[in-house]
Amino acid sequence: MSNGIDILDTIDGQSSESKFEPKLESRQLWGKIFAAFCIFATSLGLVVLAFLIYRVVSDGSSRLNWDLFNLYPSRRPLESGYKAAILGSVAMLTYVIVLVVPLGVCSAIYLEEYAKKNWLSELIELNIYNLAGIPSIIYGLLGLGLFVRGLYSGRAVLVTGILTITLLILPPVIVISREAIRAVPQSVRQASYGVGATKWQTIRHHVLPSALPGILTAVIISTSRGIGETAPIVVLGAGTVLFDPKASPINFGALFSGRLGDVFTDTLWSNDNFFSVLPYQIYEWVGDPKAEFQTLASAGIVVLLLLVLGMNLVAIFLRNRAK
Amino acid sequence: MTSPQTPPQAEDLDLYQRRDRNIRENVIGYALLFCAFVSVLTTVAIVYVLASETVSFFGKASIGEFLFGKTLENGSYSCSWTPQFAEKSFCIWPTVNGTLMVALIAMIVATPLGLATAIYLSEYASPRLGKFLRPVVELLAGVPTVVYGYFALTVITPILSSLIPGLQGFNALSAGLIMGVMIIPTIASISTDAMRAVPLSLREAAYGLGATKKEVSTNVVLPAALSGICAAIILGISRAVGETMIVAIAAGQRPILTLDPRQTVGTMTAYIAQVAKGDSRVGSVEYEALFAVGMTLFLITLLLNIISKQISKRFQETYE
Repeated sequence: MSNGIDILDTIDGQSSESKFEPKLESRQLWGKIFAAFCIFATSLGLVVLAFLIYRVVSDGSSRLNWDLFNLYPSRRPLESGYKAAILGSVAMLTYVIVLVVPLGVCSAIYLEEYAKKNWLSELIELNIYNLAGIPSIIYGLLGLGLFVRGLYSGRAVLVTGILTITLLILPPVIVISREAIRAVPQSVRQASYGVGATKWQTIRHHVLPSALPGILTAVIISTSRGIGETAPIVVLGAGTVLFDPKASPINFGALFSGRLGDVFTDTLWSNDNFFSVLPYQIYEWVGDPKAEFQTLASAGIVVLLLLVLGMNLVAIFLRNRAK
Repeated sequence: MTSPQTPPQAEDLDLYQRRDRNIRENVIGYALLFCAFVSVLTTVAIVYVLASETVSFFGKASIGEFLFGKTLENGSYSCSWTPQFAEKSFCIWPTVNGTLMVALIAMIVATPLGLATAIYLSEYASPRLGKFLRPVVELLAGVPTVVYGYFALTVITPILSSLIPGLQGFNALSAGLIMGVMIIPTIASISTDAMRAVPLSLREAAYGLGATKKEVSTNVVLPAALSGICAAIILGISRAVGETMIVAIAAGQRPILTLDPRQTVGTMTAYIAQVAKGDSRVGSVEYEALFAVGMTLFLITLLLNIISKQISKRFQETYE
């Protein structure tokens, strides 16, 4: 085994004189220094994160009250809040989950359970791997060209944001869901086939329930990334909005009063349903020269971090419980 | 979608239920394939959108100028990126320069720290501690990048400007440093997996020869996991190149050719964000320049991802 010889060479074969000098003291000192550096490196990120949280909470504390959730953006910082942006983020989160769960899980099931080893499945696999590495801002350009220009003739409405973020987080959802499906023991499938179940019955009643915690983790972690994304939203051309986004897919008032022609007016699909999301509004105010807007940005960051880190903690908890 | 072709067989004919089941099974199979195909369509759409606008961009600006700059009327050479100015020039390198400088600073921070974190998680920490620490480290990757950008601008830049004379309000250095922190989990996570895949027997052999823990980690585990580590580093570079909000907020929006990290720079991503935020008319050269820069960025990150995949493929073949 060639590796064994390499180890001999590197550990005690520097030169023939030093071969019989263990130099234990200096080696152990270096060992301690190295261990300290490793501990320092591991904790550095956490220290930065803790300091960051401390800073935004202390910077934003004067604005951390209900006004933040009740006011719309304005030129006067003290009368501005995140209402439209937070509602936009919540609506986007909901619809992204509705779209990404079936698409992502079905893709994962296909690739793990159905795909034969041929050029088509290899193409899909390679493609998903590469999509996962494409910067989010490129998805913004995709959404701009395809959805904003193509579907809504230049209007950056909520639907375009939802579709863009869905495509953005689809690859990671597929990748992590596949791992969860792969982790289900083969014996479970064999037992199910053994009693005469079909492939789909096996997947539906045995594989999916076992993989569920892993799939949930995938969806939660990926949507939390999606909801914190700013770059694609900026590229779509979202702006500051002074009204709540329309989130209902159907105009129920029109439906129940029988005005069937108006079922889709003033709904999610309307072409005046402009939107903003929390990270985008923060970005707008970070760049503002007025100090009060910076305070407002800090307060917004606290809300965003609570949402995103909270989702991450739920995902970690689920994953640990599944193990 | 084609209808499933299952010829009825003799033993199936009395089992109507089984035939129904077969049809349903086939329909489900095709429906799942369709879902998986959405991601292929996404790639096609990305390439189509970027390519079509890039082609019309190069109808107005020359590829020669894009890649090599131009010679001005007074005979001097010029390479600058100013599609949104009245005096337009389209030489891509100043934005690439900004991107590479910030990415380089980020990798100088993230590579040693990410590797040390990986060594700690895989070699030093007890399994219980490792199980707790790993998701906590990965939490860093979950922080929205707009938050990192705010942190770089309002915390890191003021600290650095009291230490470094000549530091500008927007600079490559503080953006790069914070981007490095953001990339630590990417490198740490993949490298930890690579190190854990190194067979225990290699470590035991080295301990048997009297090596210290540090020597085992750096002389045995690190080289044995090298291909996985390289893949992690390249993936980290790809993240750094594609990151937008940190640079848009903290590094500025002035693409220039410079090697000074104290300067305001403009990256490819920051340029896209800046121009898209303003209202550029469809069909104008600024609008199309957006997609030309996007295409360049797409090709760079795609290349990095393919290299990373090739390297990690080798690593999987070695130990599994």
